[in-house]
Amino acid sequence: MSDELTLDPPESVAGDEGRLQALLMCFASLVAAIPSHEYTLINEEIIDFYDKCLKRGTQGYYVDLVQYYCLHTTHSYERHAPIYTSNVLDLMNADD
Amino acid sequence: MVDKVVPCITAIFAKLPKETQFGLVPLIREAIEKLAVDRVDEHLGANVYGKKVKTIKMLETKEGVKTLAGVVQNSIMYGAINVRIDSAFCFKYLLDFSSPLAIKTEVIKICGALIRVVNDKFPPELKTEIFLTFRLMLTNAATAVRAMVPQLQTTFLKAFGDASSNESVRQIVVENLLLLIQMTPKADPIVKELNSLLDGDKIDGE
Repeated sequence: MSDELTLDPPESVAGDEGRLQALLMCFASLVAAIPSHEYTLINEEIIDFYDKCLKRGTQGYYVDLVQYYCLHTTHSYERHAPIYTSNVLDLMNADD
Repeated sequence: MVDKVVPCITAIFAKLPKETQFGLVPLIREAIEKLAVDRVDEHLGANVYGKKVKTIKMLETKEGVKTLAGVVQNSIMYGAINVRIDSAFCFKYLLDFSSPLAIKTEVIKICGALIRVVNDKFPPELKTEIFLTFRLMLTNAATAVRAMVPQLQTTFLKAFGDASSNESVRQIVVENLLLLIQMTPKADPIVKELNSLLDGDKIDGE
């Protein structure tokens, strides 16, 4: 699912921001709902997603994902909070 | 982007215990320095810097300033010494890189937190940063800080008798007093208090 958000989409759906947002929210809901024993795996997935977003210049998706994840997950994300904070604060002066 | 960044940072901080939030203060300092601070010259020290930008977009919003100031405020009051030093740097940057409107409501809270800790037994490095923050407050946010003038006066005068202050801290305190005098209707109480300090027993070791 993250590939859909980070690879060039087929021409027919390229630029369809509504579709991408729906996909992103679906991905974020899944990530936030992953059970505790999959915590490490899911964080690797989030880190990988960040790298891909950075390459494509679409860090806004990462910011949306982290916000949703932190608000809705039942896990303690203390260990990864510094990574999320650094990555998001890097954008504190970014243009729209 | 800023309208995404602010709620995201707020969401990250929201569920974290205070002790974990302390650990994020160095990251806040690092992020601001990376984006906005231009070191002028190594031998002039960390206190002298140029500005790469006038303001940081996140700090042009009230919510953005509030989110960061809240974490920094707790850290300067309850964190370890190194975290408190990073907190003092962060406060200085918040005052320097925020828009006046965005920081207006936070200034009194920041000022109160700094007054509470500045005359405790801390190394001169931390005191220097805190008094530099006061100086920025008096220059950049004088109107917002006007209500705290009496407390600031007491704090600055007390700093002269503080055994853990050094020459450089006292120099900044003098500069702050000069700025403060411009905001007070009468300078006599300050002069009287300084006179009584010169009488002797309130100045440690002299």
